[in-house]
Amino acid sequence: MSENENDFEALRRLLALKRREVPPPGYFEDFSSRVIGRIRAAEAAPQMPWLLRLLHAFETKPAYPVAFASGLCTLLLFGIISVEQSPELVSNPALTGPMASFSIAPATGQSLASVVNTNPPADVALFGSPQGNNTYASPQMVNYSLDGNN
Amino acid sequence: MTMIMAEPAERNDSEAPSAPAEEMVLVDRARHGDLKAYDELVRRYQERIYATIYHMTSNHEDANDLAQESFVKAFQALKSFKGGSSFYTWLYRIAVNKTINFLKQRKNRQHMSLNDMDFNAEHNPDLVALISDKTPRRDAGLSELQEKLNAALLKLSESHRLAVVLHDVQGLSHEEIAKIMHCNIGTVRSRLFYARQQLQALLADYVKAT
Repeated sequence: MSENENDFEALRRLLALKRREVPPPGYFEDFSSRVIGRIRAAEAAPQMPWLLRLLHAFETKPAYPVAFASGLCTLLLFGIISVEQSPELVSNPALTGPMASFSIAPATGQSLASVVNTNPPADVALFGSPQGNNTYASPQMVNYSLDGNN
Repeated sequence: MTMIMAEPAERNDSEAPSAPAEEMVLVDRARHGDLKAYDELVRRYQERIYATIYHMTSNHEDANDLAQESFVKAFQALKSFKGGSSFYTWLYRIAVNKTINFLKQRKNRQHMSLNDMDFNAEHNPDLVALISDKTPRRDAGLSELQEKLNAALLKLSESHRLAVVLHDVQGLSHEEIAKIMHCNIGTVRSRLFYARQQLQALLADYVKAT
């Protein structure tokens, strides 16, 4: 690296010229009082809206926007995964309850058609018994035959 | 307001590292709203913070605004200062982040307000020595040289410019720059090398061949 330093010695001497660029004499004499004046003015001003305060926090701490963006990405990923899993949830009767669990697949071996009876039997309460027995009624397949044998 | 060329101010490097306890007392008092203590902290670092921002922006008015805003912001954020680094490094980070954000917004606006100089500086032996009679610099006035220098700096990316300004102009060590820029020392060295290479090419007519 010292060889590199020597390579750039002329450039560094040129850059040293920048140190001579200073504001006019007296500029720094009242600099701190201007800063303190701005702080007092900011304290006297009404409170910033939450959005501006959030932006202010983002500007002061670079970690905040990173954390915010990471949170958003996590939420997005969670959302995508949830949506992808949702068809399984609908098709699983144990998870979705009695109202949505029915099938329209025809029963094999029946003469004309078979349908699913979505009405619960009269003696089974859908939303639990008054005694606190909250067992849900499981759907029962009922086959209707229209061949006139009934 | 115009900038002038003058003898570089003596950097009192002993201030920041040698009095951390005293500084922490000031910081603590300022954190509890003591503006006198904060005034003392501002006076300590105003020149270095201003100079860094000025060399990054090449504009006095912008540097003036940004330096003041940085100190105001630092005061408002003092509660979040845990003392993990020195107050000086933490303050520098605020100023640097603010300046980089400003520069990104200003991207297309380039103006120089540095064309007024104290031409008595031409009698300064160091400057006269810099303008060698064997290079095209012979024909270049200090003003032109200064403009070229600033224009070349403005062509660098913010991170490369910052590395050069902090090291070659401000005289900070690689370690200090790494802390300020939130990167490792190797990255600082590499940015410095690349930035110098670029500057060397941009200022080829003004850099005396060694």
